Amino acid sequence: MKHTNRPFTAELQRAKRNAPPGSEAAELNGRRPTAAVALPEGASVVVDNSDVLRAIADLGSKFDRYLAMDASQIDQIQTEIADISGRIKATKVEMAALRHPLAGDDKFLQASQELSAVVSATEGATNAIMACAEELEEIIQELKSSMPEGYQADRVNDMVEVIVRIYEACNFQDLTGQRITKVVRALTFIEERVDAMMGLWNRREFEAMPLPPSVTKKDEHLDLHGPAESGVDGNVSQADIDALFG
Amino acid sequence: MRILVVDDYATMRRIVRNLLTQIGYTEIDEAADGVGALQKLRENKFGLIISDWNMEPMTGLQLLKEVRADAKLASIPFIMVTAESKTENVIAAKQAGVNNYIVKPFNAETLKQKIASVMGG
Repeated sequence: MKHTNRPFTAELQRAKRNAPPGSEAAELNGRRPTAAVALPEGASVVVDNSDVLRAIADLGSKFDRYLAMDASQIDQIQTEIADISGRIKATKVEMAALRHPLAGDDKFLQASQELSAVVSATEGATNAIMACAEELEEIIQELKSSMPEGYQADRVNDMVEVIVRIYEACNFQDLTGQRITKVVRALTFIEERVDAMMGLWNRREFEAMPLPPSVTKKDEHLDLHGPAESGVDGNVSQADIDALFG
Repeated sequence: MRILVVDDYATMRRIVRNLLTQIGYTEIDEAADGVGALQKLRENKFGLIISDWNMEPMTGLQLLKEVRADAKLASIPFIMVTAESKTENVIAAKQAGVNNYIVKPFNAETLKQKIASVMGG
């Protein structure tokens, strides 16, 4: 096939600029150049396009440099995104460990209930101690009225002072209760924050995560739950146990 | 002298009552919060109020302000017995007109001294 070397517009314009006035190339000014119109039959314009080719080559090498730089940056960004993704996943696993949607036990609720039970138990014990001290006080009053003045009566008075110290010591119950209430409030706050964080993600995602290991102490295959309220979560009372042993 | 002990915690009211009895006060009445206390204060004559701070629905500080704002009750000595020991709390109570302030836990001797102090004894 015959190859026709058709000039670019820029080449024609350059030829025109360099051509002497009145020449054929110079007369192309203002007209769209076409090979058919501009050139006589069988003629061809020989132009030097080495500058254009060099410029294209320079441009190409610049692109190569940019592309090489971008690729290394993209690799770094991808690595960092993978790292962030890994950390998010690990955080989600930890959040699921705190509050797994499929977990049978609610650790926050359990902790709150245990602490409330501590308050109730100490309150009961304090009231029992107080009742005993009050009873002792009555007995001491009876003793005092029936005893002669002297050493024994002084010792009885010492007992009264001891009873006052018992009352004073019972102060602990109120303070313990207030401190535990603060802990329960803190737990509730943490629970709400964990719930809120889980709400920011797709909650269903957490269902697919591994269930947290149980914090319950074990003895062989048996869970050791420690103290619990009778009649709650399958716990039985001493009366039930006695009935079982006949 | 009749004393009104205000605390939302029954055990604490019992402790204060017993300690008051030990130090020689036998006319003692109790209220579980500020609202109940105000009602008793308006129905009976009291010589001293011993109140906790942290109660609901009306706190000890609110009770104190109500008492001080009521012309008939304003002169009753008021002792705050509380676990709140931050300086700003004590200052707020003082500004509201509390006569003395006891931080829990406390003993019979402290209670006796504070009562003597506010009663001018």
